[in-house]
Amino acid sequence: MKVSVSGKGGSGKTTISGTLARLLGRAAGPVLAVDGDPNPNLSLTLGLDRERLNALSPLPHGLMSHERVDGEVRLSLSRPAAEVLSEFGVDCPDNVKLLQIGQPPGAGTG
Amino acid sequence: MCSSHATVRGLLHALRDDRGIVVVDTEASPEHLSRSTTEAVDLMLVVAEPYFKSLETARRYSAMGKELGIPRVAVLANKVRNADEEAAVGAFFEEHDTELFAAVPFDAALAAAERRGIAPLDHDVSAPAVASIGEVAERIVELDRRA
Repeated sequence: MKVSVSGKGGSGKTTISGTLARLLGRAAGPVLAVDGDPNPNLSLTLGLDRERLNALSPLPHGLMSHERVDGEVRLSLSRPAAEVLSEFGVDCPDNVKLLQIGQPPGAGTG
Repeated sequence: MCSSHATVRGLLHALRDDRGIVVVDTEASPEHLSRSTTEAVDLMLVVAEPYFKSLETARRYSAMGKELGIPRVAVLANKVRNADEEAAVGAFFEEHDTELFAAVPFDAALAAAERRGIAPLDHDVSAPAVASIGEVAERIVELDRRA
């Protein structure tokens, strides 16, 4: 089951995503939380401690490659998803693994 | 941030046959919809506050999600202060043929957690909004079991 959480800025989208991910983790085992927001805050709502928060690093370039799918060129992961998750996923409370796609909070370049 | 869109999209496609639970927090702009970033999800929840601009945004995002072919698109009302607000939100989305998944109450505990810089669950696990999100989680687990 894959769930996306969308909404206007300030709507409480990230608070809901993070809390939902942890409660799903409590109720049904491992959950992957993906932070796709370029201004990422999901890690805080997931309750990641500051030490690990500061140690978060952005995903490296070159993780994606062009691939032809059904005659259409698109970007795909150049490595198996499981490998990407085990290398870059960060363990959070309640069986949640966080994959931060944008830059980590505090990286402050943009 | 084009690369983050491509990465999320690629990741979701790579996990297409994976049975695990995934929650994606998207960026606030509708780019994750116009660029098909989150097309490969089973359920898209659109968070809406009970005021017109937020409802309008949620209506637009929902329409875009449906156009992407996401199997279930539903609104999660948030910061709802009373039954009148919940009824107004319900009426708005009913008129626009969009499912209202649940209404999460306004809860000062969430703002307090925000001020402390900690997770709502670690601030007050019995907060009404947390309980309400817990009910949403239970329904998602149920949907997952039936899928």
